[in-house]
Amino acid sequence: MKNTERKSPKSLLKMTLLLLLTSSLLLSACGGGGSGSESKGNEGGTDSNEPTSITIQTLNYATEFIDNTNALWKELEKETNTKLNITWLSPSTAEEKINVMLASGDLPEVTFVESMQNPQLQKMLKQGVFWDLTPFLKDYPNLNRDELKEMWDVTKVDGKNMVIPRYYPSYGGGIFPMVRKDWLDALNLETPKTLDEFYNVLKAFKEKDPNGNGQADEIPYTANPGSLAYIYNIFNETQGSWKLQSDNTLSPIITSEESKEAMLWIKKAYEDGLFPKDFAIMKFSQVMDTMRSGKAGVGGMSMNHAWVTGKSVRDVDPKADLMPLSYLENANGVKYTPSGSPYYGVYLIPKKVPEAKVKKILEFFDYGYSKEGNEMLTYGLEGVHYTVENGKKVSTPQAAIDKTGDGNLNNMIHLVSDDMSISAVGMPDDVYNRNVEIVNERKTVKVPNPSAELYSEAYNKYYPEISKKVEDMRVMVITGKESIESYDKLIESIKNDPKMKEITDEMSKAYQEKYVK
Amino acid sequence: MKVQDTVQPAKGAPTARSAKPKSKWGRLWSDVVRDKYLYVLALPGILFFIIFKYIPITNLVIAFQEYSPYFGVLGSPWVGFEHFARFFSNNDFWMLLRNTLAISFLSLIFFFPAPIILSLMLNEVRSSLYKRTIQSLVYIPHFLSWVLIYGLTYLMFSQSEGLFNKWLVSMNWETIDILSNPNYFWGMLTAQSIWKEIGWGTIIFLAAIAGVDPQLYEAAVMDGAGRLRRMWHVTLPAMRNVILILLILRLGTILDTGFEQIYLMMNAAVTNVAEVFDTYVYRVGIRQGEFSYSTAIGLFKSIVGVIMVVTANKLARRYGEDSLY
Amino acid sequence: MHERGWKNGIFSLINNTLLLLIGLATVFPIYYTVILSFTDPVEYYQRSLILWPRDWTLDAYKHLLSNGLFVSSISVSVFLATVGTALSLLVTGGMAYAVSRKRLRFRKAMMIMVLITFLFTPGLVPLYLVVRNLGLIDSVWSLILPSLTSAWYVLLMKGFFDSIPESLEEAAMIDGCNDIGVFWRIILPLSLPALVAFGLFFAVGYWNTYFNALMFINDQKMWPLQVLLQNMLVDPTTMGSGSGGGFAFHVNRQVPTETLKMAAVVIATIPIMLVYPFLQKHFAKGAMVGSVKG
Repeated sequence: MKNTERKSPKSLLKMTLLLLLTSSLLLSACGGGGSGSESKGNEGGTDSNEPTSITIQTLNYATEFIDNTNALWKELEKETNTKLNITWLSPSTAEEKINVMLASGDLPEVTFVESMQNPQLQKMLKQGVFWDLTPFLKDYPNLNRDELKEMWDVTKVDGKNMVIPRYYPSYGGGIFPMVRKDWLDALNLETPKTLDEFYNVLKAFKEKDPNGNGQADEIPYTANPGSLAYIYNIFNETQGSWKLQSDNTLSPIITSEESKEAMLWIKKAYEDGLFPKDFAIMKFSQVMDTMRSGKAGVGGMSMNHAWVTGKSVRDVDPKADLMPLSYLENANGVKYTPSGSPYYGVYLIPKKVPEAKVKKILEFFDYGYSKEGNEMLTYGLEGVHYTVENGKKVSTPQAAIDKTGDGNLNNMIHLVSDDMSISAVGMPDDVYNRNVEIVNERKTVKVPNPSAELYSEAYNKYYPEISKKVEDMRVMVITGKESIESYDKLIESIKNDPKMKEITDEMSKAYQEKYVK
Repeated sequence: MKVQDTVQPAKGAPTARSAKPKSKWGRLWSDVVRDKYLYVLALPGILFFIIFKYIPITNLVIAFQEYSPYFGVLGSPWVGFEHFARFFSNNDFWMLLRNTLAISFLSLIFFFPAPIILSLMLNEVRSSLYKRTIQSLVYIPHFLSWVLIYGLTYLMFSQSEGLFNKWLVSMNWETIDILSNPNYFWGMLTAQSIWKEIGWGTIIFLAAIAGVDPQLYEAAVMDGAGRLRRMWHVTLPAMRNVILILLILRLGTILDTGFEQIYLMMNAAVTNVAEVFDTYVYRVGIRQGEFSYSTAIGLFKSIVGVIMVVTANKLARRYGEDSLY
Repeated sequence: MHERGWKNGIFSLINNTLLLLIGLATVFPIYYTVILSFTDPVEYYQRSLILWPRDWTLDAYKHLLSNGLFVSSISVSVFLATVGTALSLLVTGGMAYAVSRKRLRFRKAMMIMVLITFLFTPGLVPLYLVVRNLGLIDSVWSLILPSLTSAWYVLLMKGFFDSIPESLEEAAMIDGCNDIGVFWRIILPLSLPALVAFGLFFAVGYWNTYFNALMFINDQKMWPLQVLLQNMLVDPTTMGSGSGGGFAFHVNRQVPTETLKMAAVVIATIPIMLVYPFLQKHFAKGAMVGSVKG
């Protein structure tokens, strides 16, 4: 009796021990991580008939990830003669995981990084961890498409193409006012073109009962401090946090006189009750929730939200119509609209990948950026996943089965089209056509973005702290908890801060090295 | 009692086996052989700590390096105490220290004893149904995430939508700005923590109370002790060991404040009282990828923890309590 | 005892009332969470506070449960919470018992070794490298082995074993048990309340496995429940830090409504919460002494 009772714990213990022991043996066998410990896989490109295996790590926005049993995946492998080994990253984890991968030197053959500004990445680029692709690129016609020229240009590091950018349109993204067109119509108001007109619209939303329920329950503009950053850009007439001076140096807009005016504009609006009472403490998701509740007249969003969020508002209020503004003019008559570099995220190939395989990988991307491959990744195959009716692609039930265009493969290489930023699944034609008009109007507005793609060590080290101080102070002044004098004092101290001078010098130098030749 | 009596003579039996006089090393060896099965029991744990704690811990040397993944730990350049100097010379260092300590001490004074008191109270409940019901209720908030608790707090206390402020308005009183008022911030954090963890914290203490010999209570009743006195003289001593260990461990993490909660509750108006080491490390170290710098700050926190634990342990021993090691 | 009757009564009254208030303080948020999970999202936006939904709906639950990975993620989580908890109790208990025996050589060294790991926390990157070098990436063991135990558990469990008289163990030794036998046959049964408490801690810890799974598991079929739910709740409208700021891409993915989030909370917590009431009886007074005598 005793024996049988005792046996089970012993064997369990044994099992645990064995597990731990073997684990420790394995550990000593592998030894110190660092670079280059990844297995080489099969050396690509030696035999041109054999499919090349490529390991890729990239984002996936879908709820269910596809694997190599998926029809489109197979099609992609067939077209590019590859055997794909894709590690999908869920967007909730991507940033942390990418940082761990970079820091551990544990890099797949094709590594995705969301932002070129990632400080780890910047260091590694300087250290030559990744292939310089410049000499190879000319051999791949689709990578040299006209539409892609700009993205290759702006992502150069020291004049070399070290990254394969993932396309994303310049216009249509970014936070900018989205207005309830039905409220404008109800009050017979014109679409605002200037900041002053915009202010008057907000005031009318507050006072004139645009939803017609007889109560003053409207929130003219659902916003938190972070979503109003563009107001500072309108006043400063530049994108980003830096303004180009006539002597080819950059100056930070955080300390400019214009920024103070912008803050006072927001303060006045706050005091007039144009923002929610909890403006100072709202998270972005709460800002969006207020919009979706149908109580707000304006919210800051990218253009595709005309439908992504517009649809939710319509569930609550069937007349609701969300319309993005094209641009806003400041008092000097200078127009502003948000725009960015025409890519989002970059792919890199570590040096440990043999040259033959680098070419194979570029071939893979060449297919992905070809018109045919590009559309296949997003829409699937004609006749199988979609049919063309009146020039529009209509998806078939098979599209859902093979998970076409749901954030899986279409996210690996984006569709080269404005639709990326202005369209959304299920968007009605009238909303879509209006968005096309608006984005074309936005494209006529060119606002300089001198600090895009610049990197400075000092900026990375010190700027976030400085800017947080100023942003906090702005909120305090706007909500009346601090005086304008203390704001002035803070700005003065930052202007005299040697760290700020170091940042400014480095940024100016980085600008001149990149753009002034 | 009975059990102990019969056992008493056996005391020292194991040592009797190795009674022969031996050299120091010989005794050591025979002791180890005697206790071989104890070592076997401890082995999986020891392996665990070596593999999953000590091997990664060696990486802490990057606090003295300018770590770069390309060169690895072995190849990165050494910079001595540069990161520490940067941290201590930071203009905000004293603010961070003040906030961290304030939040931590509030938690020590109010949050730490809360579950102990609740366990004592629960222990006094006669109706087991009532006791179980209350117990099952209070421990649920432990499972709610901080994001959700932030949402609930907003729902209760925000100025535009908060139920509390709506109630104030209905009573014709002024609304109170609770979420963006620096005066309320620390108190609110402490209250939130107590609300979330008080029930969960009782589990360990109730387990300790479960070990109390009912005879002790009976004896106390015979002696005419009231319920409060029984609580004080019988129940509390049974929990003493656990309370002491938890307290010493808590002192070791005096500079940890719970990152997620503060990060979520922080807003521009309360930054001055809300910024703590943990939020600073997150913003400066992790988001900006400065591994060496954030490791240095972590190391500083650890060393403070070591000092606290060693001191607390010494004190405990001086007053005749069981100590941690 | 009788003369104290009225005092006793007042004590109980105050005590029970205070407990009732504490209990009530937790009821409303929980009630609200559950109620919202059954509310229609449109109604949620229209009304500022919902105490009772106009229309009850199961949509949120249907959406979450219809995910193809739901079953696999539940099995991973259950595996972690059972096998992981058992292993954790064995490893923690074994080590804690060994260091609680005062006669053991190197006992203090072992304690200090454990304590150091409590005070010095290594970063994520070196842990990732260890797990990778052990070949545990994408293995369920990567979610168990690195969290088998911790200094906190070992030190605390030692505190419990400390209070068991050594005389008991010596008696068993005379009966011919070795230390492992004593541990299994005497010590563990005696410490039942503590084991239950620690088991609950471990089980909840494993059930809530999230961050390690994000780092060590790439294969969706190996995702535990918490990761799956979180991934379903990613808000496509607040993602992206690049030029777009607030993307939705072409993603055919619905914005997670508040009601969906609440349903996820309910699904994620109900199973593990139900375990507790079954364990409560082991916290009954005198469980330990009873087992010695019996």
